[in-house]
Amino acid sequence: MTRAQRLRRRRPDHSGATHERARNLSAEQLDGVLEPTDLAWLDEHLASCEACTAAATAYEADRMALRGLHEFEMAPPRDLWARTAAAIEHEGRGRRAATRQTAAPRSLRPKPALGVLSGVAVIAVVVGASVISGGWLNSPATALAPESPTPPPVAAASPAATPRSTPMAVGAGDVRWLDTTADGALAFNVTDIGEVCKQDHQPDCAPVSGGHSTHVELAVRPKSISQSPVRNQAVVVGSDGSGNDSVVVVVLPTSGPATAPPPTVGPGSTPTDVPSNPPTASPTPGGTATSEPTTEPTATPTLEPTERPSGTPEPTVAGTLAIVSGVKVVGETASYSPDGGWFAFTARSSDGTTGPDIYVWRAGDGTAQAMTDDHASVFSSWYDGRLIGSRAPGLDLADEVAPESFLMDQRTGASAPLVAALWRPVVGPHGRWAVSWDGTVKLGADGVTPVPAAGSLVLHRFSEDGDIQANGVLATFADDVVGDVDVRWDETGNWLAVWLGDANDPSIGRLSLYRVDRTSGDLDQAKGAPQEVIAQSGFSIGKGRLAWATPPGQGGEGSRVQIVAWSDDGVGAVESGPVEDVVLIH
Amino acid sequence: MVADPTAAVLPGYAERGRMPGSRAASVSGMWDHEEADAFIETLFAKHHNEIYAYLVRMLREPELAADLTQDAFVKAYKNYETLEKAENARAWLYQIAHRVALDEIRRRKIIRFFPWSGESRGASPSAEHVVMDAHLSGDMQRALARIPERQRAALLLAEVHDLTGVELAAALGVSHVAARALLTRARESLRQALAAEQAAEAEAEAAKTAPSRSAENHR
Repeated sequence: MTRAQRLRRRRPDHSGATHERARNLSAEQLDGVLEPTDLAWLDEHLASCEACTAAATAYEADRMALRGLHEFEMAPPRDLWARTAAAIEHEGRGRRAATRQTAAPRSLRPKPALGVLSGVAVIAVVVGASVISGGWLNSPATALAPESPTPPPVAAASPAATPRSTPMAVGAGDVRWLDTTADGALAFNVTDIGEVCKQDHQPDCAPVSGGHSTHVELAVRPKSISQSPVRNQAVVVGSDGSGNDSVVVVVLPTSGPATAPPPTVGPGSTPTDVPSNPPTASPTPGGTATSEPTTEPTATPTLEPTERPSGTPEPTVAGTLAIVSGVKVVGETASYSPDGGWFAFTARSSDGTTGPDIYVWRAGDGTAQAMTDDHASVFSSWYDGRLIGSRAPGLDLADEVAPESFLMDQRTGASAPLVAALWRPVVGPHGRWAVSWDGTVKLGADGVTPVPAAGSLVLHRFSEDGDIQANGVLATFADDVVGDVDVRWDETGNWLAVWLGDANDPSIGRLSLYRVDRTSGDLDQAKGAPQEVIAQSGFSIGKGRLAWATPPGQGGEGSRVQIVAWSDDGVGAVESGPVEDVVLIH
Repeated sequence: MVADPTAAVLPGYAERGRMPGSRAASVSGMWDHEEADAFIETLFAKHHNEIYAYLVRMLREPELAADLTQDAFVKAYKNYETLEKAENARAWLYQIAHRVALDEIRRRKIIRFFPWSGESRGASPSAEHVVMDAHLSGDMQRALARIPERQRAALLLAEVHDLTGVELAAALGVSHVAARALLTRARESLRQALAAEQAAEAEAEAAKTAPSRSAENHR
């Protein structure tokens, strides 16, 4: 022992530097083993220094407190993976373009259940919708122009940057959606899509804008919108201020390039979609639309936004027809009949005490009518001028039951059972093929609505009187569907889109597009067609286009509308810029 | 459909046993997007919870933390080639998340330290905050919020997220010695901040009781 050490031993040095050293060593001791000499010195110092001993004790106590945080996990938002995957996908496209990779980009997103990755927390999202009376209202066109930047409405190649890129022409047609503008207003967008880029050229396609955009007002916060196949009219399912759903009928804005869709289907029926008993809309903003009939027939749709001279401060309030309110609309199957004369959907009580029933609205009527009262039936699809429903009898007695389906004449309510024990058969427009859940059903998360349990989602031949085995299963889409399912055919019956909802987050799912051989029913995954891409619920398919919204991107960037279009030359794609609260109109 | 996300994706990084760079170089130095996709998916499945938790603890705002978690994984994807060894992926990810957090703090120029306890001024506590309340006293929460962010990061990474010394150094982007020194300073800063918080609390308590005593004396 040196003299200095002996001196320190006899007379502990309590200078500031010494205390600091003691505290440092006490802290370091928590993170590793001290040198023996340092340890001995520290012990000696602490023995005679209460302040440093207290500091050492405090370090230890603080450490224990922090380590207590190990005890719990924080659940990130359920959609974190969906958002991240979308952002990575977007980033990946840019990199692929930058590196001039010629391999087809990977459009598939990862297989794991979307909700599984982000924990198990279930968050009830309550949207505070401002309830505004009236239907679609046109703002003055002049006011819209500066607010709505309108880049070229169609995908445009950038020849300078990518000389090899040649956009692919597709048949005329548009994609329509509703979104929220920066000022919080609703906007109705109609975007003509005349060209797309094949997938290996996709990064070269400039994003499309909202095309023609019109500010609108709506009494409900829209969740899904179905456009009539024969009129410029739509049925909107939305939540009202109380959180319940309302189903309202509106007339779409017609100004600008948007035109009434072509009468694609018209099998001898000329639907009357002017309400025979038109509703009286509340004339003041803040009120709710009513379905009270008036005795004055209206020659033109009362819901049509009124064209107004520029500069008029307040738009004229147009009518909205609330055909059902105070319910919860179930699933994604609501749709117009092919002739546009009827609209069918499924709804249950808003308080969750009773299960779902099928409702139909005849275009022109003042209200929708419940077609079932067993509180266990759902609308599936249209077939041969009638609706197909599915029900789950006996779910109050058993956990899982075999479903049954039936054909119902919506005019009379008369129904006849289908032989096959199918759940929600979605029959194609030719009536030849259908996509159905072949298996059992159980009660879903809300405790009253049947959902698929064990079985498969299959494509099969369809007939009214054949069972599924006899008819023949042509393809299986999923063996373990646990979320919602949205299956839609295009009007030709040659293309089919299948959206499988996530088990934990009903707002997102995986969307795939298939080509169906009209003769054999064989499925073909066309090159460039989306396969299991992450998509928000509510897509549109028709007129040679499939459109869907991606989940909101990073940094509050918003969703993007993805549009895939096809022609004889193949399948191509283009996307919109960021959009907020987008709802595709199908 | 409950699946092990790690098992469901393409090669897990733990099994890769090779450097991404060497793989990427096999395509004429080009970036292998397929493998990068799979790799990031695996990373996300394994680590997104802890990265999110770290960012919540650093920034105290769950929504912002979610955005930054997303940013971190996107950056990881973009910088996939910079990961030299697969076994370092966790520390590498923390390093990215740490930089994302510091960037955000610098960008904002302020750190909005909403107390985690019931003393919240205005905002109702989130679910995460409520859970944290049960584990950290209010004065500890405020003390943590008072110390410099790099020190707070060091403490959280070492004590809460269990990074080893080497991992801590990698995550903080400093040498092992510097990381230890930072951690030592952080412990002392926290001790002093906690003492200051407790003193302020005692003072406030005394101020509350003083008027009542004074009133009693007047009776």
